[in-house]
Amino acid sequence: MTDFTNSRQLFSHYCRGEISAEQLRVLESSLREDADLRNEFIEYMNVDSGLGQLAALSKGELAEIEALELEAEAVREISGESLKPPVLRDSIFGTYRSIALFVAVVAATLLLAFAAWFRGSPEKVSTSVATLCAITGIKIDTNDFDGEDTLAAWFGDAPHVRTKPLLWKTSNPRSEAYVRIGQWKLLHPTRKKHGPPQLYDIVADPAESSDVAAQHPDIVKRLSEVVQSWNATLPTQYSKTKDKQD
Amino acid sequence: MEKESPDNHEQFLRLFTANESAILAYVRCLFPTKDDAADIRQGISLVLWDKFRELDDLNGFRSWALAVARYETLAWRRDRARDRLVLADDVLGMIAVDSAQQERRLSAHRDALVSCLKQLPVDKSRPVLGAYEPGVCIQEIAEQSGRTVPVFYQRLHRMRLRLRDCCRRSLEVEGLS
Repeated sequence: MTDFTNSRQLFSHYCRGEISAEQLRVLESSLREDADLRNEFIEYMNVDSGLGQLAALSKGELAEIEALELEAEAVREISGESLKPPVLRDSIFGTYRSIALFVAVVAATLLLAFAAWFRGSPEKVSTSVATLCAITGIKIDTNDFDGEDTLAAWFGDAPHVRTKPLLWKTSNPRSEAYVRIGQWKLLHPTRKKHGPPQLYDIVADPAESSDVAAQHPDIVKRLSEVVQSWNATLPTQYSKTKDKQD
Repeated sequence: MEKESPDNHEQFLRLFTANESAILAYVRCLFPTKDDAADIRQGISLVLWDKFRELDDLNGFRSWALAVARYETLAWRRDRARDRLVLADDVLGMIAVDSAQQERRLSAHRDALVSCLKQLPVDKSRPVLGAYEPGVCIQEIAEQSGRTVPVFYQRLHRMRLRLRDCCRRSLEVEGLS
């Protein structure tokens, strides 16, 4: 039986034109013996060819194709033949609209009660509250919450781009704190022995392999101020249980 | 009908344009590098036009064009690619048969690519398309995205698989799979 994982890797080498003679022999032999693998290969190269054709189009031509796709999709929707898999918008506003709204209202109410219970530490409340409030039409002061309304992303209308800083730390007053704003993530140590703040560009370096604090002292300063100011609002003592994970 | 008549020319252009994607995808299967594939594509379009008057049944244009493409590919390989690492003739033959049988589905996959690409975040779709732009230097694209060339190729490979899966899902919804 063909090892599809390894064979797919050979597709990639073949596609790049950097396949060794030995690898080519293995690929040929697998393609000869296995019809399913041949189909995988044909589909893989088909995608590669399709991408090549799309990349060769000008932006205007690509936009024209996208517009035609949208137009065709609209026609299919009108005729009840939508090709896209059902998305959340359909489930909420389609057959199950009433049920979904009822569940959303109950969930929002419970979360708001939870938020009220945690008065004084609104950072405990997640993005869900703002989103559920938006769904149910409940008016809230968004400044009271760290979370943001992500309704547009739920509906697939637009990706959600967070505007507020994201801050977190463990429940130890002396533990390091973190802040993320846009592409930047700052680790802010509370104790000097843990070294200076570390800065990562998590878009270019998602593995956080390279500390770029030295190259961006202005960003380190700005983010440190944000995290220190947030840290000052947190409790200085936490109740501890015997649970080591606490 | 004379080969050079405007009607004939128009007919050829109409059929060739409608089937060009299928021909290109087929040729891409047979050649390991995009440059080689681009060279042979140009040659095939000229041969197709040259032999167009020999085609009796216009409804069979696609299968005829794929057959011509296959023979041209083999000839090209015989003449110019003896030392290249391309698939053996018998494997090419199997791919030719399978591709022709699945062309409707493959064509639907290519159609679904635009919407599948749109489902990727911009920071993922842009480098993918960037890697396919004519005359692009992969090293530059890899550096721009903060990756080494091998890591970038690996990522490209995963993106192709992801897009292929997305195309399959689209067809399942459509009932064409």
